[in-house]
Amino acid sequence: MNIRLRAITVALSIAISIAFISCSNDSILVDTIFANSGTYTEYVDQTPIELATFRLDSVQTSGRGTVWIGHHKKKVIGDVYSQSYVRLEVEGKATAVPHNQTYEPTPYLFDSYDWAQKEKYDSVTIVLYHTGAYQGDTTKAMTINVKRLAQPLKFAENEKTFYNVRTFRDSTSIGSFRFVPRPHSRPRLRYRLDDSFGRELVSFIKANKANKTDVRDQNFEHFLGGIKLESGDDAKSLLAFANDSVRIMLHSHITDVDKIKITRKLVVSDFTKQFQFNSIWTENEDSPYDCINHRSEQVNEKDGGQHSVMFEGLGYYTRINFPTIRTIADHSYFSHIVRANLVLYPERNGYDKHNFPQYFYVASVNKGNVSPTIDQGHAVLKTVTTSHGTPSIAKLHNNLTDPNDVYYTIDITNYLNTVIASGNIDVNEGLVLSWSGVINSADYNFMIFNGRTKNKYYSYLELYYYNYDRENK
Amino acid sequence: MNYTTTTMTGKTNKILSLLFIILIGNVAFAQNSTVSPYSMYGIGLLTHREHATSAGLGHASIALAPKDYINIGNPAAINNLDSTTFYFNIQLSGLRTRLKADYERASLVSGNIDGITMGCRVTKWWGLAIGYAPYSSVGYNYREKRYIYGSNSQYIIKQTGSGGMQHAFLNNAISFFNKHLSLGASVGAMWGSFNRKETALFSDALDGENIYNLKKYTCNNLYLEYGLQFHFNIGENNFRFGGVYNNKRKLLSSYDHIVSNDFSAQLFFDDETPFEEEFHVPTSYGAGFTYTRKKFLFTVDYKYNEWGKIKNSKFNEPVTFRDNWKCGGGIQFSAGKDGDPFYKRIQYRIGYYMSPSYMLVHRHEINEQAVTLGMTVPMGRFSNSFIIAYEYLKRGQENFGLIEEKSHNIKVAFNIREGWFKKHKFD
Repeated sequence: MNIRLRAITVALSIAISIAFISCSNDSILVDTIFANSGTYTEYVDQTPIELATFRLDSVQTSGRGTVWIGHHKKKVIGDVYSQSYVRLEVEGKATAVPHNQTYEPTPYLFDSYDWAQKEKYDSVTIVLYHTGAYQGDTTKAMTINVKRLAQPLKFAENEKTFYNVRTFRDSTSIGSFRFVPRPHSRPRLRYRLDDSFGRELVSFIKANKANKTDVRDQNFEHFLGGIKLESGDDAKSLLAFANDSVRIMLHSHITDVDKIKITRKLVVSDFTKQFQFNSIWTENEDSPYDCINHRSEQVNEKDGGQHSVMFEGLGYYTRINFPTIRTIADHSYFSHIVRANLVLYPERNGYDKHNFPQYFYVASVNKGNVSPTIDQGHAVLKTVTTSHGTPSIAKLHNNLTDPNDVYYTIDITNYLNTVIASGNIDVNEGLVLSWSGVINSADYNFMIFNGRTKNKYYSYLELYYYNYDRENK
Repeated sequence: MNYTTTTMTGKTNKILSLLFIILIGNVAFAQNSTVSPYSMYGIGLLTHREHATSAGLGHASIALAPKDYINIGNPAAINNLDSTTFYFNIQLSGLRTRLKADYERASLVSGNIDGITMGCRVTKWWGLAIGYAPYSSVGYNYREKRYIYGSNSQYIIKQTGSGGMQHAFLNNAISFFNKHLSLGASVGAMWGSFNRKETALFSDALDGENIYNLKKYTCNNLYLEYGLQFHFNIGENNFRFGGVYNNKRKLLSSYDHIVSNDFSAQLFFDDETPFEEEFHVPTSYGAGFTYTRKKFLFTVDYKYNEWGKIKNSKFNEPVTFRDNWKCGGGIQFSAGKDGDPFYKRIQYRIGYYMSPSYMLVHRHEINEQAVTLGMTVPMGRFSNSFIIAYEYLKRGQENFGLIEEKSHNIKVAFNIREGWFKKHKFD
């Protein structure tokens, strides 16, 4: 190859490198409107929403792990009462301890139904443990009445759970005690019950000494169907107790060579734990929410003092209505919602606990406050999800300079776009707030939200529309 | 025995094979001929449809009538070709552009095929050429900050575009008065498609969905251009005048429009929708002059485009059209003559070009001016040649929120001449 062709080959290689091999994807950032292509994004924060309060006619309060007892006067709601039902069973072995060897293991364990010939009845007591949770004034003494249920505490037919509206009225008192709560400093409560109940219990044990275990259990179920724990009229607070800590202790002794103390326990087992439930109700004729009798009834914010209420223990839920959903859909004909945030302001003094919860969930409901997905008749609602398929969670935002400027934001972009894309626009559909992923949980949570009609710190919906252009045809 | 041949040499075969591979490779990995953000308007930036020789002469071509390559800048310019030779030309272009906007800088590289031409003299008075060249090019990639109306928040828009208009033509030229006057016409088809994609990046600004707004435009129509050249000699001095004209033509256009997001295939879809009064080719007329004396050549062009009669129907774009002109010229010289060693026969060129732009962006001019250099290197015994042209171009401005471009553009061309029509003679 002569020098000319070599030179040309080199030049050609350079040209090919420039033209075909080198390629850069570097892009420049322009600070001002350069293209002005006709597409734009707009922020709309005046989209009306309407808060409302509805009430589920019954809320699952069984199997929640907490025994709520007492009375508390709540803002907006009024007087709230709670009583709890607990089912017990006889623990398999009685504990026999020589009175001078309190902390030593004993060789004298025997069946709880083995009532010895020389055994003497001493007393019967009830034990409760505070969880530390409470509502109201715990400096005031309160009375707890313990009642014996005559009928067994069982699930109703075709019913999985007990609800907050259910009560058992044919009960008799087996004791009461009055105390000052102090839930943090004195978590354990132990009080003596009536001896008449204790002696009746001894008679039952003696009578069933020779029976087989299943017969004993069946007989005990009818002897003591359960107990009801309720507060007296002096209660100024609601107290929470761990449900598996509730027990009745039967104390006796044998005097032989040495004195041996014997304790039999009626306990909440893993089996009976599921039967425990709380019955919670309210009494306040002045409350706008007192008139709600069915889940399809609701109190709009304008009738509820510009508020909505969320109180899962009573079945009160805050519902968000979108009265202008058709306008939103019409606006979306040449646009797409790229972000839709529900901004909800809780009333600053409308939450009992010190700090607002960090998050809660949102679910969709129809006109009758029934979810599109119903789980065997129960109020299991369909949780709203984000575009990524994860549950939409309300996130708490704090303003350090303004303590009133505390609000939650919930991403409902996917919900609105799905409703609009379906073409099935129904103004009667809305959203409901829930503290947990399951809408019908019944923790004793209470919160008041400011409605859209308030002058300041009101809840609203903010929308970001991406408006795309179309060519002239 | 006086002996000539029409057989291709082995070297020529190799070069043609290489060019073929390049062509195939280019089709497979096609890139854009521009990286200019200004190509997002209209049908993109108009390319200089010219031979690489003219690229070294300030893009002047109207009054050139070369013997050794096909000048497509004027349909009347092919009557000076050798009657015994078939001409083939392929051109490639590459560029490196530096963009400046406010405090941002970006450097971009691209390249593409710049044209393929072939032709010959059919008779003593009739020349013919066919070819292909890009007519316009769309190629941009930049990001833009925009405010969300009703708030103080900003988000990023990513603008990308690609494609362009292509032009295939058949040039015919007829000469009169002993070749002193030549008239030519170019009949061609213009077609092409280009994509404009706007990606709204909401994932950062709003923790929301990104939106992809893609428009694909398809345009086509016939394209006619007319030209003439007239020349005379005074002693060893040759004077040549040329003119070109094409009339306004509307392009038949349609577009596909797809709007999608990260989670949905399409939020909006509009398929093959025709639309009116969108893209046009303006009426253009130009004149050129060339002076030649031995191996020295001076040429200059002036071309006027009536863009002002075309309304930009995309009312939301910040662009208005106006009439514009292009003026460029240059000189060419060579130390040697036919028969000298090849290094003496190398031709050198230098030129200058300027043009106020036909579009005003936000009412501001996007002018361009360039300095050009060029060189033709003879190859082999059969007058084949390799042409390279370099251009340093400045377009736009950094002020008023606009973008300034400074480009290093290179064109390379391969002229292959084969004496297909030569006859063997035996004494």
